[in-house]
Amino acid sequence: MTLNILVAEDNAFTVTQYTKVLEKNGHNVTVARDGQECLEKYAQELGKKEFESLDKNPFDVVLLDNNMPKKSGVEVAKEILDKRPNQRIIFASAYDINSLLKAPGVIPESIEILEKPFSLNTMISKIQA
Amino acid sequence: MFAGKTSFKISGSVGIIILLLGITILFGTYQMSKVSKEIIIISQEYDPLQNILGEIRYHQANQVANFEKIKVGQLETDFDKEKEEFWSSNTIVKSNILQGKKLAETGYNMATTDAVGNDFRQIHKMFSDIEQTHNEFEDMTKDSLGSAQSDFLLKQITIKENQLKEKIDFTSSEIKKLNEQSINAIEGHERGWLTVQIGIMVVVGVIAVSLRHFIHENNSELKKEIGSKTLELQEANKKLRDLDEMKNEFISIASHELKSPIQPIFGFAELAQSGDIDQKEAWDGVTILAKKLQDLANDVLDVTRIESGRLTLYQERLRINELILETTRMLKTGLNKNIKIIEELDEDIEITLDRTRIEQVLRNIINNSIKFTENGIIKIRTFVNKKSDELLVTISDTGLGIPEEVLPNIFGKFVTKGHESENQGGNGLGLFLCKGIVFAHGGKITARNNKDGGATFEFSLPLSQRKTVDSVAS
Repeated sequence: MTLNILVAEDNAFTVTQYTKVLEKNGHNVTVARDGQECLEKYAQELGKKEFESLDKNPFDVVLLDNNMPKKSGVEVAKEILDKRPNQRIIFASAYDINSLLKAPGVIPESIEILEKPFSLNTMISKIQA
Repeated sequence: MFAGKTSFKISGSVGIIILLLGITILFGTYQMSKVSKEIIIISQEYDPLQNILGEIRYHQANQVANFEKIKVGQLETDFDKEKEEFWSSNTIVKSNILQGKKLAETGYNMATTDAVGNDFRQIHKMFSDIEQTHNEFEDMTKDSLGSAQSDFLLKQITIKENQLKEKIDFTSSEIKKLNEQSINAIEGHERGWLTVQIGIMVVVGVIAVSLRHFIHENNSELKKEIGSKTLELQEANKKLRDLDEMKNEFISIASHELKSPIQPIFGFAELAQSGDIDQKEAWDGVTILAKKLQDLANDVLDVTRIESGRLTLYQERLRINELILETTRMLKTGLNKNIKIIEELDEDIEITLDRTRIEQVLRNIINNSIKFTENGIIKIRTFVNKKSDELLVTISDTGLGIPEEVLPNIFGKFVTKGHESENQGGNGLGLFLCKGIVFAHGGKITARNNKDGGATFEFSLPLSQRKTVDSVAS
């Protein structure tokens, strides 16, 4: 099954690797290099898809890095969830995830987490789960 | 601490006041007892004298009475009994006079002061007077009893008798006076001591009041001092908190920088294993990432060296233009933006410096310019100022410039991500290291925004070698 995936990640090498693996598994990948770009791409896709179905989210999965220029992953996640509360988001960050999780209200509970470094295979299984 | 000290002072002062009052009361009591004792001693000395005088008066009157009885009835009977009584009264009077004299002598010998001694001498003299008068009276009465009635002699005896009486009364009143005098003196003495006691109490009161005043003054001064010290401490505390925050931020940045290349390293390994990318691509990627980690580690080490003043410079004589051109050539090679790097260099002089470190400075500044310039020009100029004996290096760009809030701290540690549009993560150490290195060479570094956009960094290096240049840090 093909998934539409939005990847937000500022490290060029990492983005390339994600894309390579995800496309190999037959998914469509949209890349954003910072938080701002991620939100723009999300809104763009949302505008397109709204005509097709009101219930359908623009992307099946949004894979978010936390530490990005312009807007952090947490900020991006909040803005996306404001628009589409049932959007699936996976956090992939080298930041101390535990401290982010412990602070209440920082990350919505529905968000899934991948702590860096992780194997690309683990990422694939998580996204396809 | 402060409250403890103050209460200690107050309790100390109160203690001193109580002690002084106690001493005063004790002294007063002692004086009172001493005075009453003296009064008793004096009365003990004066009272017997008065008694003796009373005895003398009584027996003298007895003697006179008997003498008159004898004289009136001389011709009729013998009056042996009266005569006997006359002589015995005479003897008693005499012995009493003697006793009085002795007492006066004892008083004189025991007198503690000259005045009292004088008094007793006077008393002794008065008793001697009485004795003499009595002796005369005795002689006359003896003559009168032994011979025929003589009106003249009788008259003389009556006169003597009155004289004697007067003398006794005089002595008695004198002694009474002396007694009163000495009592008065003692009372005066006592009054004096009362004044002293009142004085001490007044002094104690004054001390207490001034102590209160002093403590109050002291307290307000201490309060002021504590106020200012508290402010100082608050400031110091704020500084420490800021430093701590910066340190935490640095650790967070550094740990992120250290962690972020690890993910793609794993990724390269995984992709190479699965054959999704070729070996060369994987090795190249891993090498670049390892280099990034190495640079970060070096920067952190350099920061530590600069902060502890252990930055060692390995200096050599070299041509400055050569060094600059070599650095820009390297940077131009890796450039993937529409940016022109232009060198406008002055005379190619020889200068003493640490090649690696100055290259590091140039690279850091030019890379910063590249980072904040999308397309435009980066100009590197040099100016050899022989007057001020220094080389000026200016790097100016046409980029975004430095945000106003960042500018004052631009050369501080952990100053990073000031720009919204920053696309490249910096570790916030580059310019701090630049400043440390330039300072170690004996130069200065400044940053400013250009009027027509972009930023300019300028640093100076001394032309002549300084003596202490070997290993100097900021």
